[in-house]
Amino acid sequence: MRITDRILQNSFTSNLAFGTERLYESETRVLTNKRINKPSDDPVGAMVSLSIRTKVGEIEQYQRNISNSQTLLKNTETVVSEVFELFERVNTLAVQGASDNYGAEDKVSISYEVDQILEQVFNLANNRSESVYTFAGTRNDSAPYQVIRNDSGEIAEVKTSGSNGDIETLIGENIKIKVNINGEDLFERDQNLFNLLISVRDNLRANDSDALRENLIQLDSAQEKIINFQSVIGARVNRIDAAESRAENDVVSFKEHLSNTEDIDAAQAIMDYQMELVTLQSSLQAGSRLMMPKLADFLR
Amino acid sequence: MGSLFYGLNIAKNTLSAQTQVLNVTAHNVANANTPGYSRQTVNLTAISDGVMVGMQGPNVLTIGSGVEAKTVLRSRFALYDEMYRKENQDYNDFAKTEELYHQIELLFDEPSDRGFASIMDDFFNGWQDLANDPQNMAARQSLIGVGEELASRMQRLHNQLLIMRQNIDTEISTIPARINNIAAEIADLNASIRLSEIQGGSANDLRDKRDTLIDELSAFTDVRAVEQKDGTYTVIIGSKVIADHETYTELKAVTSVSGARSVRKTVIRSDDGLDYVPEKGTLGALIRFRDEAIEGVLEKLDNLAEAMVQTVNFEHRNGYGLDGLSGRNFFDPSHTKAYNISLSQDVSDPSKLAASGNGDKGDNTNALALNESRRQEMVDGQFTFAEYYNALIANIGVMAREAKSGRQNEEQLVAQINNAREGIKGVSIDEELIQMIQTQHIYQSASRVIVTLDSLLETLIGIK
Repeated sequence: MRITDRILQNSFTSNLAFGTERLYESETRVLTNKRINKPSDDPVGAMVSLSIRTKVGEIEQYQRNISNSQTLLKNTETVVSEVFELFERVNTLAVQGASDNYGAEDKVSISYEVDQILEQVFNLANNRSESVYTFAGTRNDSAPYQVIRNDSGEIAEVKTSGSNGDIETLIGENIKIKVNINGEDLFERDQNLFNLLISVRDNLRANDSDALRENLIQLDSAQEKIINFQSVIGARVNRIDAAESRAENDVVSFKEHLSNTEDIDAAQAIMDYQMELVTLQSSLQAGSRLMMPKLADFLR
Repeated sequence: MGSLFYGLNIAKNTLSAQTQVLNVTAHNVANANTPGYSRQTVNLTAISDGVMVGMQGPNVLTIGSGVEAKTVLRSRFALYDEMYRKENQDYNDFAKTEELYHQIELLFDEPSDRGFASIMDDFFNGWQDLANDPQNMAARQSLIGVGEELASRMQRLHNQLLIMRQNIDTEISTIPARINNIAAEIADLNASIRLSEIQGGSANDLRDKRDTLIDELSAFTDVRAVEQKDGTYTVIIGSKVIADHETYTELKAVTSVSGARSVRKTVIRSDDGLDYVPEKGTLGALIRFRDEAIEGVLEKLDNLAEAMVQTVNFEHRNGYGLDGLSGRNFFDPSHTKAYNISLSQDVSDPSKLAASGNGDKGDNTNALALNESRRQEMVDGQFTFAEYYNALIANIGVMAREAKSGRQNEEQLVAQINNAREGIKGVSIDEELIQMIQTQHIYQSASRVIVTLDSLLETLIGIK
């Protein structure tokens, strides 16, 4: 083939343009630390990267849900434990009341302590964390329990305005967990805790040992119920903790996957960049020599 | 017997022919980097008039009368021109397509934490934040904010695509004007070439100019040039003759707008009213991109917007606001397209977001249901929102990549063919210098012949 000056120039310019384009691309990869800067860099990779990003976003949301539900359940657990301790005390007091070692006057004074405990349990049943009533189910914007007091200002009856409804949260894909304890389940079902306390108080005042012995059996089953709820909460906390560590692992592994998909291998990328640079430099050098010997240089 | 004057005549012819050669060499060197220039060579021919200069015994001595510069030829191979134009047209097609896809890629800005995908993620995750604390006004407010951003980003994508479409329209409409200029120039050149070649010879430089114009046309669309017997070109674009002898036909781009999304249709129309739809080159690429790529993306955005409005609204209507009322839309149900998707007046107050499934303020089942709607295959009945959007992005990536590798291939091909063409028509300075030295020596030798003949004549005249 006949090679003219134009051909040398042309191939120099087009090689230079090509080399510059490749250098630019490789430079972009090094500077952004990303292999995929636009979908055309790797269409399949871009799609994978988008869905992993969504996945990571979901898991980070689950982590927020998890920490939120941990707080909720921890609060609930504290309250339930307090209720349990109060009932333990009532049990002790009822044992005293049922025995004949105490006189009627003593029992009346014991009844005042039981009345105080009743007030405390009532307050705990209306416990509020932030703006939400813990045992009000889904109507947690208002207090679930109201009292009717007798002439001497003591609690005569506890009424409920709504204390059921499950509140759930997602702690993983399609994994919902209940984060509340319904007041109805804890305070009302099987054994109404308020009525039981009212009955103990009143029986102490009436010095009715038989009825108090009856109360002792009821107190046992009430305590058993409270313990059950403690273990329900414990089981849920365990599940959430497990979900938490799984979410942590998932985030790490998805992020790693994302990084494998999107990011460059830094060493490789810098090597590539150097190679492109060397290629461009040598083609520049060759080009500078191209513009060279002409017959005219030798004609005098 | 031969005359000494005869030799002087030969030398005179030589000087004049070699002067022509030097002139052409000068012309070649001068145009070594002129685009489209073809190397010219002088067609030297021995003059063999068959002059009988004498008898040598029985033999007749016939001596030619030197050399003459008959014609000046252009080194050019028409097949290479054709190949070049074909590849140049493909190159420009791919290059324009690549450029346009690059714009779309920039517009979507994916994959990143700033793109539409991450706003969609934020939107659906926002419902979980609300589910964690349904009465929290901050969570409600922020969810409305994300919803507004979702709608406005979709609108913006749509608008930017429309602006792109507008720019393409403008670009399309300017190209026929350029083609018309070229067609007019070609018709002029046809006339000049025919006129100058009638008197013999070849209008090399005019022909170069005309070929360069055809090269230029080949970037725009499918062009062919057929040479007629009188040296004129008939230039055909698609199936339409735009220049023939001394006449040319004006083209214009006629774009009609129809349908709800004002879908465009462009035809190239000539004075005779015949239409032609360009398929290749820059023009073909622009029309194809506007009508297929942009329309495709717009349609997909619309599908996504529509499915999102319907799905989210359906779930949202099932739920209750903090005021205990249900049946409210989240998105404005009368604005279901990407260009007008917006939040409904129903949720102008964040307390009206329907997180509750039963009217209780603490209930979050509807917020959870709204979050879960991201997993419903609601777009085209078979894709989730994210799947649909991701496929759209991947598709843009595939097409952009295809255009890029096509462009790179064609770039190489064009360069190769151009070099092959240059190999024939290009000027080599070295060659020209060699030619010059050779010519110089011949010129000097012919001068020497004159001096010698002169001295011979002097001797002859000096005989006493």
